[in-house]
Amino acid sequence: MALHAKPIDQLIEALTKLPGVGRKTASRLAFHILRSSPSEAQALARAILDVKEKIHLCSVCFNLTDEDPCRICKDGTRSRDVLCVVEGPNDLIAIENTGAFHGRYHVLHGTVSPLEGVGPDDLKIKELMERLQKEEVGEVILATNPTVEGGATALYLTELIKPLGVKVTRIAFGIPMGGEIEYSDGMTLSKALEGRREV
Amino acid sequence: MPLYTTNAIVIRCYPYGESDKIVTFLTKDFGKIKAIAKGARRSRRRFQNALDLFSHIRLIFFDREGMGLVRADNCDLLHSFPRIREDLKKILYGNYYLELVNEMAGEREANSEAFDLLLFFLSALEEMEPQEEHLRMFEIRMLSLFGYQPNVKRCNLCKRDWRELRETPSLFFSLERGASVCESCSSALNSVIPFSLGTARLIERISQMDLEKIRRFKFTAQALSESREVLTKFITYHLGKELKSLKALGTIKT
Repeated sequence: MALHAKPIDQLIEALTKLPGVGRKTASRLAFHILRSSPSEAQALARAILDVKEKIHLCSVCFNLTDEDPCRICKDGTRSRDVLCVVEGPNDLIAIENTGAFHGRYHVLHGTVSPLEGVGPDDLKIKELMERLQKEEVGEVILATNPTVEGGATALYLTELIKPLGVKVTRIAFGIPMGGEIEYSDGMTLSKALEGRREV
Repeated sequence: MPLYTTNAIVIRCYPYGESDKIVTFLTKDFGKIKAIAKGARRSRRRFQNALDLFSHIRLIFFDREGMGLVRADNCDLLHSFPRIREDLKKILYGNYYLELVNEMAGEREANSEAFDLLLFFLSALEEMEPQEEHLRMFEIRMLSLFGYQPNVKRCNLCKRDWRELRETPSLFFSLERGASVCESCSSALNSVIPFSLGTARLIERISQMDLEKIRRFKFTAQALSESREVLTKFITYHLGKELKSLKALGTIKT
């Protein structure tokens, strides 16, 4: 027997489908929505629908966007010489938040992962190669994660891009800011030593 | 909840939720186990970034009887195989080793020999140039360890041995029987692959060979091509599916 009125149960049911949301949390969220003003509830519903209706992939860099090309690709102040290749839109946002990169991006939407059956054809690699043929790019920064799959993707791209005469660089690995050498693993430390620079 | 410690190799891992990972280990003492590593994507101290494919670690985990997933508590990285991670071909070979073990090993069935074998082949891959012979040798040894050793000593149907088979023009491998059959018997069977007596002998020899000798062992071009055909098809037949990493080995050009 349902404990709540049908619309509340439906909302709870829908919210439990969100990642990391159990029935208890879904119930709390549902009652919060129920207590909020009609305009707040409408704004939430509208925002959810807008995301589904208006968001698509940028035809140039394949980032998520509501306009095509996206704001970053359209921005004339950004360097057209450097292209940063990332695994997903969240990585792009993390790099953008640093404010340290002023070039443009290319989003692969995954990594080469033989164990998961994901190959180069499942990623936006063909599109990246077409971009490099068309655009005047001097450097490609491979900003994939330092995992086996991220590394495999970077190695694969290096072999494809280098023959085009474009400089290929990989983001540096090492001890994070605020980290401690004592607690760093051997692999990270050796990468930090390999990538040391003169001060 | 009891706490256990064992040596383990990460054979599969993927993100789970905001900050966790689900990791499959091949352990020295407990066979294949699947674990949840809470906070592994954020915690640098407890897991030292060690829960990535190929990592050979000292693992500490909690296990509550009857639960499918164990809970990884922490680990020390023993070896991360950095030279495998820096070479695309080695990554592809290594992925095949991991997937084959993952598919063949049953959960919580202790098999320390399988652990030692995987560690041996990963170490060889780390130290040497990738060689297709090693893929075939790994397959032969893994099949033997899990009770699927190809029976290639004689014809499985008429029981004639190699000395007698030498007079027959060709030999066949039956996927269904996991064994060799002579030409005259092969017509009674489906799914047979032609292969030479030399390749049959090679498969038999490798299944018995001392591991250290395996490192430098070379196949002839004919043996390499025949063993590839026989072994990969036999594995696919037994598992009922083609391994994804095997497909990647054929499609990703390095």
